Amino acid sequence: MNRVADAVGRWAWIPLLALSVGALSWGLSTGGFETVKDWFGQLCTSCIGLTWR
Amino acid sequence: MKCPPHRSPWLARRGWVQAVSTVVLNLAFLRFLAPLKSAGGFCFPVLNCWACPGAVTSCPLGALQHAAGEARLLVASGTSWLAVIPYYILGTLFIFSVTLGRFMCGWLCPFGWLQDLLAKLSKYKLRPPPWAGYLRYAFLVGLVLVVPYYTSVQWFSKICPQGALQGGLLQPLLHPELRGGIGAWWWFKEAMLVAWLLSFVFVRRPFCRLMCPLGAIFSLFYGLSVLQIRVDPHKCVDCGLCEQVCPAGLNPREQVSSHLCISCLECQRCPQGAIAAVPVWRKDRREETVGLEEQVP
Ligand code: SF4
Ligand code: SF4
Ligand code: SF4
Repeated sequence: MNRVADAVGRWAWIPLLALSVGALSWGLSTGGFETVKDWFGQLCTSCIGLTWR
Repeated sequence: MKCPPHRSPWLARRGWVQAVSTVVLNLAFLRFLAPLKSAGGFCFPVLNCWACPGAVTSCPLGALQHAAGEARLLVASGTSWLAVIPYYILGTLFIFSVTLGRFMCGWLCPFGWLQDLLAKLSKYKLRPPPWAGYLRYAFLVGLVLVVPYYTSVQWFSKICPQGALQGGLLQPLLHPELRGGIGAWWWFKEAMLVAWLLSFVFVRRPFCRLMCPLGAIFSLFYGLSVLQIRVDPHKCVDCGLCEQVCPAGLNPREQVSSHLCISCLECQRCPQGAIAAVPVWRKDRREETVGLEEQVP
């Protein structure tokens, strides 16, 4: 059992990285980049702390 | 005890790497590079506020809060849960978490650099209790995901000190027309920034340790990410030097590569060579830990 846990600890990064790259590619192909760009297209009043708008 | 020099020129230049990273992430301050600002969709996972007039990358925490706020409206209008997951933001975050992990915090984050700089002003340091490190997960779940989901307001951004510094101070300074929007909340936010800046002098990396949700996301991967740091107990002579130099205020003998370690590698100054960075697939082979000279060109 310990050997299994040890192997998971050492090699889990490979499937995790593959999943993350998959998520990123899917996100890009479904317009994720443009969506984020739209959100940040105007000044963020929350970040700046301004009270209007 | 006198601190020995780094055995690698790269490690000795961590401050310079942090400075270069801060400049590169804010290149739009240069007039001829200002068009870079329009590429706002590019998320880079360090705490560098997109509201900064010079920022060229967007903050994944801001993006996650927007995504959470939109998710509720989309689900209410019949969109499936699978379709509202922000794959692009999560994919970016997880790729950096799995590969570099908290190396981002130790070497590339501008807000981490600011904390390291102010920490040099005093030798007297307060030490927060170990459990305080878990508050970061509460900020992540509460103010980045759940509250923005129900209110569609970016509540973490509302209290983020990096926003107060890079956006709150610089935007009204450079754009006088914005000053009309300054009200009670702005003053409150800037007062919190002052309190944080003071704490940076007397506590090591307090924001990273108590509040940063981005560091919390990296920490979720701390045992699995490619870069690991290990102590060889056979070489350690318990001199305590590593504890003295750790900018995160940890005891590296017990906490190196823990969820609070920022992977800065400062503890590799160990005169016995007991601490070394190793790839995760070699992480338990302590006797064979790769020496510093082999790790860093
Ligand atoms: S934990 Fe600290 S260094 Fe890491 S992203 Fe947050 S502010 Fe930056
Ligand atoms: S790891 Fe190195 S620096 Fe730290 S206590 Fe042991 S011998 Fe000293
Ligand atoms: S334990 Fe070592 S690598 Fe981790 S934060 Fe402290 S000095 Fe840096």
